[in-house]
Amino acid sequence: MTLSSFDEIAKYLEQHENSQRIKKLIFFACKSEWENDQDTLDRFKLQELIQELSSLNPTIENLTSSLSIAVKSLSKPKQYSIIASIIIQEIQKLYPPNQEEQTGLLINPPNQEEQTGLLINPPNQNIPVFYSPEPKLSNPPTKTPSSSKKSQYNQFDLRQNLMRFTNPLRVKIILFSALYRKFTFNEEDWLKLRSEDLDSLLKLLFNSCSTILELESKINNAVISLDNPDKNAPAADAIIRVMRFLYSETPVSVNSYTLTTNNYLSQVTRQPVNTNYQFTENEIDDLYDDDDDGNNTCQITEPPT
Amino acid sequence: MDAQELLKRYASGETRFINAKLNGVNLFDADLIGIGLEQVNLSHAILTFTYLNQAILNNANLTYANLRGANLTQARLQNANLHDADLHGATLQGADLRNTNLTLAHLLDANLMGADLRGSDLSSANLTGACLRGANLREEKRVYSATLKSANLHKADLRGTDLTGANLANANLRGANLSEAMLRGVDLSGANLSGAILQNATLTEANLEGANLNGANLINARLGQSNLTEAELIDANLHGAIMPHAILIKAKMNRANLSFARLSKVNLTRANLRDADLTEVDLVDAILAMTNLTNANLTQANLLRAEISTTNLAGANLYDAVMPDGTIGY
Repeated sequence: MTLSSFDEIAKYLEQHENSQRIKKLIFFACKSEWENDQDTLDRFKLQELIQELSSLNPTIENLTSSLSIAVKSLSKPKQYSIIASIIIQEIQKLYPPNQEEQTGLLINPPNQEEQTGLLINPPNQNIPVFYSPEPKLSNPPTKTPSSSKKSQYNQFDLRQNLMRFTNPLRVKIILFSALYRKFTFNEEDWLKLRSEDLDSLLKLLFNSCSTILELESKINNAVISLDNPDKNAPAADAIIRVMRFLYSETPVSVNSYTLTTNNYLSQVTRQPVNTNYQFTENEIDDLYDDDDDGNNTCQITEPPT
Repeated sequence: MDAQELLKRYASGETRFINAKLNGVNLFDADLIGIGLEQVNLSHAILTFTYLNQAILNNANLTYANLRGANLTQARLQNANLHDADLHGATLQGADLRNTNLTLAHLLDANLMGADLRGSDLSSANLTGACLRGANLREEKRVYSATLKSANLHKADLRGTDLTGANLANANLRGANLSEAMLRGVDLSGANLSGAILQNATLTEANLEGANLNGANLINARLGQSNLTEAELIDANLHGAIMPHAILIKAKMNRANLSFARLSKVNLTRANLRDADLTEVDLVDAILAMTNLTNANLTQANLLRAEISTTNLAGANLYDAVMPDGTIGY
């Protein structure tokens, strides 16, 4: 592991519009103590905290689980689950690629070259840079009941199933609106959508939702925010149907989700979606509207040690 | 003809518009299912989310067209020109794309399942995340020859895709899934396949010279007679791979897993296999001139008649291995 990788990640996260929250959450995940005092936080370098966080979590699964537990013990879990996914998206670069076929979760660094298609032999970013052959599992993070319900998935099967039943671009637009802001069809949004592949968006959504209800509300809110519900609602429905399996108690391989068009359409009896959720505003708007949570966030439960 | 006229005539029952000049037309979200547009000029047209299912677009000019999210399921696009077209998230499932020009086309997250792409030119196209499951890119001598030179297939789904004889030189297949794919005789020289899944893939007679296969999953892959000269296979998993007669001159295979692989008659001259796992590997008649096997595990390996006079076996474990002269190692 080179120091420059930690530096790069720290630099990126420090420049993020939610850098304060990012640092607070990383600090919390490392020290198991919520810190609102800016002076105390300033005494810790983000780069060193990232280093500490990655050494505490030998695998990406450990990291995801630790952050998920940390988020759940806060008074603003909704906002901080998004912060957690931003952190995971960056810090996953430190981990070696998984045996994809077994776990299905690719932890490759985000694609850098998709714009041109002309890059010949780009520098290999897939060599494990943070590889510990014998992961330190002496102190594995305790899983909460809800996080243990989430299964890992084969991202190729997930994408294939989505594409089989709906339009991939519509799915991306809904995911974009659920994760960032309402997609407005202007050139800036198109460019942003083009810079992220479906796989990464699905992974972000999955990592930011600890339950299927959370995922459903995020997707449904996105559809409400977008125009054209006739076209978007069926795509949203497909996302929820396909991803529901990833949250089931007894994980069902999405591979087995091979419905024919007919029986897919005949399944009109939908589970009532998130009946308790108040569609007040988009959760992402909620996050970004509230620029600085100051000392408003607190730890409401003890994180497991 | 402008968009309004086309839509009006289509709504009144007219379905064929052969040779029409529709360049730059805006047909966003229009329903044109089954329309006949052979040889039309749709260059720079806006066809975002347009329904062109079963449309006939043979020989059409679609250069620089905006086809984002367009539905082209089972459309016929033989010999169409889609150079630099934007097909981001488009659905081309089961489409007939034989001999199409898709050079520099943008096919990010496109659905190309079961598409017929024989003879298509996808040089430098961006197919990141695209699904090509069951697509056909098979070479047919003197008729079709698919080209994907320098194409970007990062994370693409190519499971079971037939790429026999295709040109994938310098393509980026990092993290792509090629399980069960047919890659017989392909040109993958200089390609980036790091972290790719090639389990049970057929790569017989493939040219993989200088390819990057670091960390790739090649479990049970068939690589007989393939050329892997100067290829990088660091940390690759080749457990059970079948690769007789493969050329692995100067290949970098540090820490690779070659347990139970069949490597009879391979040429490993100057290859680096430091710390590799070669448990129960078949190296009968293999050439191991100046091969670096430092600290490699060759437990129960079969080295019968292998050329090892200049092999570096420092620290190698030869327990129970069959040595070139038939004696058992310890």
